[in-house]
Amino acid sequence: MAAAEGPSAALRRRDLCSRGIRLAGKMRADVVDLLDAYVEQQGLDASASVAAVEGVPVAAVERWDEQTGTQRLLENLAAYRAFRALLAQMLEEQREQLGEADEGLGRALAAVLLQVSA
Amino acid sequence: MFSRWNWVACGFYLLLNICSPDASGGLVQSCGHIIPESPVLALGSNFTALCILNESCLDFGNIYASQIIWKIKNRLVPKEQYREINRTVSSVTFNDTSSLATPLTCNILADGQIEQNIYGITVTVGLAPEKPKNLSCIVHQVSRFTYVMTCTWNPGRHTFLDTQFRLRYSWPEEIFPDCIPKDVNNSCTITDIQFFVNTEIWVEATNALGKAESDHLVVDPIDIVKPLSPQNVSLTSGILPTVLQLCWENWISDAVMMLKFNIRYRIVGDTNWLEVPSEDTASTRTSFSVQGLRPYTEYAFSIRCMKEDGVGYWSDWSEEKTGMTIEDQPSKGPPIWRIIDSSHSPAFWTVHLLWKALKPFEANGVILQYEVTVRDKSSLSSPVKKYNVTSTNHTLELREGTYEVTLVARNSVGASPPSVLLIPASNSKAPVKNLRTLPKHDKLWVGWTAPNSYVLKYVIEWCLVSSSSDCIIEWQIALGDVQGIDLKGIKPFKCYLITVYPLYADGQGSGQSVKAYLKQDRPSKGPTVQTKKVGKAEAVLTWNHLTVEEQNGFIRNYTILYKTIDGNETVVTVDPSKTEYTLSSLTSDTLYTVRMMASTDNGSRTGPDFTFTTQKFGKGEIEAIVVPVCLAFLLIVLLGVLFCFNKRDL
Repeated sequence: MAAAEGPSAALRRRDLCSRGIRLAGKMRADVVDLLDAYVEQQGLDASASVAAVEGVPVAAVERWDEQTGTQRLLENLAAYRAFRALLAQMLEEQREQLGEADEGLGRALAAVLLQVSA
Repeated sequence: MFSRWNWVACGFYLLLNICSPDASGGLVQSCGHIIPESPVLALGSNFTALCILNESCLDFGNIYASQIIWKIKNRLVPKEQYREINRTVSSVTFNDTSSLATPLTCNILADGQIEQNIYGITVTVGLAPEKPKNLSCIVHQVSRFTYVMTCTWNPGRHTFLDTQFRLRYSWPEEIFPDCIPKDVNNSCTITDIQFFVNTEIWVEATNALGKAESDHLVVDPIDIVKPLSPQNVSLTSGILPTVLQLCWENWISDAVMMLKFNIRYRIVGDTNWLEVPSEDTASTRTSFSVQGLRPYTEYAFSIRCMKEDGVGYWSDWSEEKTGMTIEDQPSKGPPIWRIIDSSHSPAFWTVHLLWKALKPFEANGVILQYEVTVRDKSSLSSPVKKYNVTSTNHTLELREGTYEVTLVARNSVGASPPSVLLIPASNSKAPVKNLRTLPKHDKLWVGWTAPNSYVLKYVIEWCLVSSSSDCIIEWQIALGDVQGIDLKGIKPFKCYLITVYPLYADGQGSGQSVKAYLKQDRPSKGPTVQTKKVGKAEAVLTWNHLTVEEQNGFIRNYTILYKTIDGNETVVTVDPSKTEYTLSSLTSDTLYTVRMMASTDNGSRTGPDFTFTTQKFGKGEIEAIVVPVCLAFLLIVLLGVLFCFNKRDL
């Protein structure tokens, strides 16, 4: 997510934060649904760990208490940018592979991508 | 010489014809052109066009810019608007383009006054688009996971030109494809929207004369959502007679937004909706138990939802779902009364017990049977008699005495509280006083003064008085603290007999009765009068009272009207209880006509005429004349005979 900074009052920052949190919540829900659909569609092994794939940012939850708020936000930003690129690639490949056959999946992927961009 | 000029003229003429722009367009060069070509002009502005003649055309003779004439749609433009710029250019100016029409043509008046068209242009007049106003957007949930945003705006005045509207929206870092409205110019629907990001939305209007942009709207789509109404609504009953549980499915997940609800319900058949207080449904849930309902009643429910914090729009009301509460025991005992018939034997009574069926909100279910218990209070050893009845009456044969009758209505859940009626051996307690009636529009008010002792309740009986049939009793119970009630269903112009009984804990007062009319009218028939006996100077009139159906009210008096053929009418008023009257001081041997009128408070009616002739001679008058005449005659005969005898003797 590209959080808009700038000369904004504390109120605006708080509003952005709360919206960011809600967006993350919705994204999580959408991704969970999408994951189930995708695994089924592609016939993948559901137990495979995503973290093992190269380029996928690692969840930094364990290190949060060592970091300042700004550091955390910046890491998240970098992670989301990485995810955006990966998802765009995924979308491209998915469109090539399935073509028009599975519009729903494509749309769901695009939606997630858009939310990540947001 | 003549032929050469002829040829030149012809050739020139031919050339001019070919030079007309509408002849073959493109193949031959026109004699001139107009600038600007096909302009689009703002309404009300000024406009100048130039007609420029080609040099090549001028060679053919005396063709100058001064000969140019302008036409709009074949109507001549006034020469005051022309201006000759130079030998080959003429201009025309319009101060107000509203007078312009299409096409605008440049024509030339050649030698011989022949008007030739040189060029023509189409002129389009219109307006620049106005700034679109009142842009508003709403996000509709169309299915479980699909949301579309529809924006509407006011496109402004009609421009007379082809104007494109585009709805544009973007994030700070991302631009989306424009939404182009189809077939309309004031709304557009975007199918791909994301929540939780402030989106900037605006409308651009463009046409040949300019561009306009609406104010920009910045909104998070989650704040303008109209959700789908809750789905799969179902009702469960059976928990308690006053409770129904409503269950539904929310088609918006908690991750997207939390919801609050409005639940409304009504009794099937009634149009008034009742609402569950919104405080009770102010948070996300999928079921609710509605309390305080009536037992054994069918209710219809409907529910709607919106974002919990109240930002957004309410969904439509869901489809109505009906359900019935379960039965409960009746809340009241049925009102009970009796009609005692002791006509065939004073020591034995035929007691008709009557009661009224409970209203649905008192019955709380289907009444399966009534249980009547009769206890003889005058004899302690007498057994209690019980009867199970399905109708609303029961007839008993009882010996004269004091009885206590208890009535209970039973449904599938239980029995009502008992209704008790005491039937005393005699109605010896104090009756009501001052029983009176007062008509009130369509109801008859009956009032009384309470007796000094404490009264439990009053029973008011009324029946329609009729000469041809029995008086069928209707009855009603009033509480012991009232001193008057309205009787409904009373018909006007009909006589009713109203009786009031006070019921005490240990006895009953005697009934006080009064006759009453809701509305009185004049009688429908007048009394039929005839004579019973006619004398020389008097006549005894007789008549029958009118039947109660003919009276239409209380008869206040009768009026007798009698007259001779040429005399004045004499009027006599008679008490309404009488059926006979003697007329006196009549003239003998005269024809009299008599008729009678019956009067109520609301009018009178006269009966048929009756004629009679008084006698010439009074009673005994004839004898008084005949007997002396006969006696005198006899005396004369006797005297004559005696005289004759005397004469013979001498």
